[in-house]
Parts: sequence; structure tokens; C-alpha cells
Amino acid sequence: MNKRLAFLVMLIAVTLFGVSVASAADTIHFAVVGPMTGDSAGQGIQMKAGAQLAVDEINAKGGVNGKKMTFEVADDMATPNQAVIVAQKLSLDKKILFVVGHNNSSCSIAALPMWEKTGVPVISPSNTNPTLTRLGHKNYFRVVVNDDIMVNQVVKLAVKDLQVKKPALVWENSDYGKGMKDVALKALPALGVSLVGEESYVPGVDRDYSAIVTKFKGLGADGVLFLGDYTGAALLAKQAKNLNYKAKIVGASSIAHPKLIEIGGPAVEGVVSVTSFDPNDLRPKQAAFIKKYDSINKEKPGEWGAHAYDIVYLVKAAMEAGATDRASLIQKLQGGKSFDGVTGNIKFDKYGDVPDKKAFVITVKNGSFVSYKTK
Amino acid sequence: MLLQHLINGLSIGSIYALIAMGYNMVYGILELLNFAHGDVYAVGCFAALGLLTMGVHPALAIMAGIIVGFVINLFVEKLAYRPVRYSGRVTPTITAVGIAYIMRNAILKIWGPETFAFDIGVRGSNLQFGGIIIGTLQIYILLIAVSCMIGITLYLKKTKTGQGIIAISQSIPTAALMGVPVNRTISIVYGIGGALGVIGGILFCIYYDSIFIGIGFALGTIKAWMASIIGGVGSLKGAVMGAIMLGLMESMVSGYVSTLYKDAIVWLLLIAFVLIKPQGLFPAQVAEKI
Amino acid sequence: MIFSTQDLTVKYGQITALRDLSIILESGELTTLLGANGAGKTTLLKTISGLLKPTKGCITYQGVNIEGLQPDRIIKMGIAHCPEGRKALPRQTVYENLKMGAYIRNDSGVEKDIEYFFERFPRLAERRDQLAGHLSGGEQQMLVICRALMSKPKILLLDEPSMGLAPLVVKEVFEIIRQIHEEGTTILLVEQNAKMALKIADKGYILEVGKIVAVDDAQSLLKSKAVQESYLGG
Ligand SMILES: Nc1ncnc2c1ncn2[C@@H]1O[C@H](COP(=O)(O)OP(=O)(O)OP(=O)(O)O)[C@@H](O)[C@H]1O
Ligand SMILES: [Mg+2]
Repeated sequence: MNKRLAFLVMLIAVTLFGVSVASAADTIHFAVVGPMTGDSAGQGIQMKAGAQLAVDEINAKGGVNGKKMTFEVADDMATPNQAVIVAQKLSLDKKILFVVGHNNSSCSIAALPMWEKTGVPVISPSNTNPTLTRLGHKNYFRVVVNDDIMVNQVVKLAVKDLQVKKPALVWENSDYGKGMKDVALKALPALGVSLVGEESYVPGVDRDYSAIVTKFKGLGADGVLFLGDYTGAALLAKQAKNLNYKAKIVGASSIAHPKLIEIGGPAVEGVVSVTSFDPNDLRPKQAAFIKKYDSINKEKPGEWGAHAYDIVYLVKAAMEAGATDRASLIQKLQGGKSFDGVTGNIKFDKYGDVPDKKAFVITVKNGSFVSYKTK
Repeated sequence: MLLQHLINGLSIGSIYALIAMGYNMVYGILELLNFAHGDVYAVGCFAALGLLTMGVHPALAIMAGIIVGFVINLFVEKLAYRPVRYSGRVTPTITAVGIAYIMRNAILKIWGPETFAFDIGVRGSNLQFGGIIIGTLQIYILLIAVSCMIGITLYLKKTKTGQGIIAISQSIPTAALMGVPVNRTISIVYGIGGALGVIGGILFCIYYDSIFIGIGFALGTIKAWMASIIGGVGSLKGAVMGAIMLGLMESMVSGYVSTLYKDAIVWLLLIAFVLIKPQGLFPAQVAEKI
Repeated sequence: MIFSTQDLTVKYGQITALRDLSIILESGELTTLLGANGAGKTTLLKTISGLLKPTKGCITYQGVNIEGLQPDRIIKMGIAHCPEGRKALPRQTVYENLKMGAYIRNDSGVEKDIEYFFERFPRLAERRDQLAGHLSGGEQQMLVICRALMSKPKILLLDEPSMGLAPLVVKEVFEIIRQIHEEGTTILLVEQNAKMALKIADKGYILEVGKIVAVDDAQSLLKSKAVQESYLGG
């Protein structure tokens, strides 16, 4: 009796121990870190949803090299302070192989030194600040086109495709907007056109763009480069329409949001935007992903969801190519093999940037975004 | 283009005017800066938005929003102002800021910080005069602002409650001795102030087809306060004229100087105003003998 | 007896301004309340009209307890308080001030009564649409008395109506009070000018630091040695 009980206990202990040992060894852990509460929670929640979809698909097909994937979610509240706290905690957790995050450039800037101490690879779905990859962090990568590349494409689109001869510029008065403006001011002369007007607005505060519109109209500007948020773009388009100003409006990915159309209504018809992910992409691979994501989350993916999805598959490919731990994963990612994801071809340069990644161009037609054929 | 800039400024100014009128009514009677004004009418506007998205008829939704503004301001008065009415000026300012925070966070909790479309189905058309474009919506807004001003002025001058309000603004005990029910009358002032704010706020939302949390504090309380400083604190005419001046100033500076320095320049002008004409352009009537 | 207070105690924080004070007003009589500065005269009137709440004691008017009621209730019951220091409403016109006096009335006779006061005081009529703040002191005093009467009170509380006025104007004001009294209004008159007050009064109370120290009919008080020494300048 006693012997049998002891045996049973031993059996259970061994089983449990064995299982837990097996799970540690047979599972790949990672973390999704982004804003899960607060103003930009929508973006963090997309990151989570994109990663979840990829993990579910991978696990259903037997995992990576026979190991299942699993991840935990951490909230950096879009604030640098909190980002550092999260990094401090998670980077010491030996299980965590890599991080999908952060969403905000300011968070990455603050937290990267902490992640670097324990060599955790940090792969961001959405940091666009050009300087981020020039800070010398060997563990940092991003799969998104940075503002430098993005804005050059916006300018090219306006001048080459839309034949804008007298462009005017509106930028949002923030680090983000100012960075984009500086790029545009360099790119325009290179293409042989000069700016006829430059105005700014305070995002989240200014609602009146009639002075800007009246001024641009008076200057005869035939195109407006809009380097700011979708709300500003929608309001500018509306007030331009009211004042009978017919210039083309061209913007960066920050305006390529469904809200642009919701707020702008008919006034944003014909607005063109460069974006790093086209939620209406009809190519089979992309269309299948969009449909699946939409059916689970009741919302089409934006660049955050799509990029997080790609990052998980990107790591899978690197592990199948031989990566086993943090250090070897970084090596493999730096190795420069190209990976074909739903957001395009991902191939890191020595800085961890994706200079060759193609951005998409979309335009508003009949109340929704459609792909725009560039020349 | 000058004329177009003037018209743009006039339209923005008329909206500021409605918001500033409600603000100045409360200031005029108790000489308290109502730091909750913007957030009160933001709640009214968001209530209207909520009803609109539920499919309620726009006219009803707007009426309901105005009533919400009226009622909420009654509560704000009762909770934040009445208990500290005789405790000087600093205490009520603090309680008002507190209650404003509560309301702002309630809106953030329910709707979040985003901008929403605000569509009541009125599309103004444009009238063209040469190269100048005037939206019919702009004309309506100006008309509504002016008629509200006239309406309120008549109400104060010609009705018994209106006269009671004016009496309270000069001396609460003297008004009380005349038989003016002080608490009720002050409540009415706050209610009207809240309702006027919602009217201005909703016009703002209609004009820009959108609504967001900032219509309360950033565009409401602050602009109302600036308009009152220019026009004359505590005077209705001052609120209206100051608001229109503010609108014109903003659109002229944006049009002829720079949007980048717009706010800085407008603030500088405001400071200059305070130094040169501390009582504002149309100071509240002061009848003390000099 | 139309009105009385019993054992009324009123405090401002720690300071006791009135202590166990009892007075009686007879219907139609003019009662005067005399006392030095700070004796508590204004405090008593404010307590009667509801601006202050007593900590102890009752106020009875026509058999009803009214202590602690709001001022707008008390004036509706027929007690009008004409406050110290010419509290005209300076930003309203003379006409509007008179109309404010009738705030509690809903009858159609208001305009007629205003005209009546204008007839009686041509100086107010001439300044009908002028702001009250621009009137002279004497004109303002007339205005506030008329304004108090516009509510058609049964009891009129007057707080130092002659304060700061030229002797001729003081005479004029006392003449008005005498007339109001003759018309049958019960009056409680607070005055520094004790001699003139006692001359037109039926009864007088002497208040010292919150307590009644003497009460008598006006004629006796006028002759009383103590009163002569303290209030009539010997
Ligand atoms: N608001 C107040 N707070 C504190 N003490 C007060 C207040 N009002 C009056 N007092 C005090 O109460 C006492 C009575 O004041 P009250 O004004 O009733 O005097 P009064 O008899 O009317 O004097 P006067 O002849 O100078 O008008 C005084 O000692 C005064 O200092
Ligand atoms: Mg006194």
C-alpha cells in the first residue's frame, strides 16, 4: 500500500518534471511589446493579433524544427519610461528568444540599451525614425520602411506620377512630422522642382486649415505633400473642397488609415498615399492573409498586424536555417538572406534596415482604398 | 485673398463666440474662471455623437446634447462651485479643474482620444462672389452666434430671472434681500452657460465634420478665455467681439505670417492686449462712481 | 404683536454677536433700535431677514417660526430689509432697481407703484434710466427705501438710513419714514441718530454688546438720563 502510493507519487513527479523539462526545451518563447493601453493601443493590439495568427498557423503545422511557439504580451504604454521597465524585466528572462516591438520609436530609443545587455534581438514592426538604426545597436532590426525612404517615395510619387509642378508642403509639428519635412525639403530640389509654400499644424489641436488652403490657392500650388496624421489630412481635404481648391493631396503611410475616409468622406476621393502595407492587396498570398486576419479580428490588418505576422515567420525561417539562441538568431538575421513576407521582401542591411523593401501606393476611390498603379 | 482670409476668420470667430458667451456668462456673475466649461460642453457634444451613431434623428440628438450640457453644468455648479462659493477665488478654480479632469477622463474612457466623423447630413453649399467663397454654413453659424447674443441680452434685460441674474452679479446678499432665489438663479446661469457651450461645440463639430476630445479644453476653455481677455471679461458683447477678433487674428497670422508660429504670435498679441487694454475692448459695464 | 424674537443667539465663528436677545414689534408701530458701533444691530436685522442663521432661539412672525429660512422666503412673507450703506444695485438703472424691489410680486400693480414713487420723488423720476451707481448718496438712499417698499412689506427693517447724509437730506429721509409709518407699516429702525429716531418712534430698545439693556416707550427714553448721556450727547 505504502509502496504503491510512493510509486504513484514518484510517477506523477517524474511525469510533471519531465513534461516541464520537455516544454522548456520544445517551446520557443518570445514577447510582443507595444502599447496595449492608452492612446495608441489599437496598434499594439494589432501587433498581438498578427503574431498570434502566425503562431497558430505555425503550431498547427508542427511548429519550428518540431518545437511549438508561444509568446507573452507586455505593455510599454507607448512611453519610454515604461518601455525601459518592461525591457529590464523581460531581458533577464532566459526563455525569451526575441522581441516583437516596440511600436514607438521613442520607446525603442529608450529601451534598446537594456535589451542589448542580454543580447535579446528586438525586431520592430513600426519604428520609422531614420536615426534608430544608426545608434549602433547590433540586436536591433526593423521590417518597416523608414521615414527617409518613405518620404522620398512620396516626393517621387507627387512629382513623377502625379506631375505636380508647384508643390506645397504641410507637416505636423512633432518630431515625426519635422523629420519627414526635412527629408522632403532635400528630396524636392533633387527632382528639379521647388516648393511654393510650407505650412505646419499642431496634431490633435488644430482643426482649421482654411488659412493654409487659402494661402496655397493664392500661391497656385497644384499639389500638397501631407506629412502628418490622417485626421489632419482629412480635414485639410474637406476644407480644400469647401474652398474650391483642387490640388492633389499626397501623403505618407500615416494617412493611410480607414479613418481618413471616415472623417474625410467624399472630400478625400483621389488622395494618394504611400504605405508599407496595402490592406486591399489582391495578390493571392496577401489576400489570403488579409481574409484570415479579418475573419478572426473583425478588422483588416494595418501595417502593425501584417508586420508582426511577418516577423514571426522571419524568425522561423532563421531558426530553420540554424539559429538556436539569441546570438545565433542575430547572426542569421544579419546574414542578409532575403525573406518573402506578406509585406514584401525583407532583407536587412548592415544597420538592420530594409532599404530595398518596396512601399505600396494606394488611393481613395469610391469611399475605399484601392491600389494605385505607379509609373 | 485678403477678403477670403477675413471670411475664414469670421467663421472661426463666430464659433469661438458662442463658446465664449457661455463662459463669460458664468464669469460675469461670480467672477470665477470656469475651468470646467470646455469639458462640460464636450460631454454634451459627445452625448449628441453617441445618439447620432445610435441612429437618433440629428435634431433630437442635438437637442439632447444641449440639454445634457445644461444639466451637467447644474451638477458641476452644485458639486464643484456651490460648496466653496464663499471661499475666495482659488478654491473654486481647483475644484473646477478637478471636475473637469473627471469629465475628460470619462470621455476618454468611453470614446478614446480619436477624432470621429460628426455627420448630421447638413451640407452647406458655397456662394461665389468673384474669387471669394462663402459657405452657407459659415453664414448660418454667424447668424446663430448673433441671435444667441441678442437672445441672451434680451433675456437678461427683459425677464425677471434675467434681472435677478444681473442683481446677483452685483451683490449676492442684496439680491437675496430682494427675494431672488440665489441658488436656483446661479444654477440657471450655469445651465445656460453649459447649453450655449454645447451649441457652440456642436456648430464646431458640424463645421469641421468631426469631433474629438480637444474641442473641450484646448479649443473651448482656452479659446473662450482668450476671447474674453480681448473683448472684456464678463461682458457678453466683449465675448462675441473678442472671439471674432481672435478668429480674425488666427486666420490673418496663418495667412500672412506663418502657421508654424501662429500660436506663439497670437499669444504675444494677447499679452500685448492685456498690457495696453487690461479691461478688454468692451469691458463689462462698471457703474461705480470714480 | 406681529413679530418677536426669543433668546436669539447669533455667532460669527467664535464671536458671539447677539446673546439671548428678545424683542417684540407691535403691529403698525415704529420701533427703534439704538446702540453703539459694533453692538450687533446689523447682525440682528440680517438674522431676521435670513442672511444669517441663529445658533439658538426663535423668531416668530404672525405666529410662525421663521428662523433659518432663506431670505427669498422671508421677503415673500412680508419682511423687507433695507440694508446698511445704500446697497443700490449700481449696474442697474433706477427703474430696474425699483422693479427688482418687486421681484417677489406677481400682480399687475408693479408699474403703477413705480410711477407712484416717481411722482412722490421727482428726483428719482428725472434719473429713471440712469445707472443707480451714478446717483448721489442721498438719492441712492431714497432709492433703496423705495425699493424695499416696492415689495409691499408688512414689516420694514431699516438699517441706518441717515448714515453719511447731509442734515437736510437726513430730515427728508426721516420725513419719508414718518409717512411710511403713518400709512400703517410696522417698522424696525436702526439708527445712530438717536434723537431723531426717538422723536418719530413709538418704542425703543437699547443694545449693548449683543444684549438688550433697556426698553421703553420713545418719549421716556428721550427723557431718560442714561440714554441722554450715552446716545444723545448729554
Ligand atoms: N462677518 C462678520 N464676521 C465676524 N464678526 C462680525 C461680522 N460681522 C460683524 N461682526 C462683529 O459682530 C459685532 C456686531 O456687528 P454689527 O455689524 O452687527 O454691529 P452694528 O451694531 O451694526 O454696528 P454699526 O453701528 O457700526 O453698524 C461686531 O463686533 C462685529 O465686529
Ligand atoms: Mg450696522
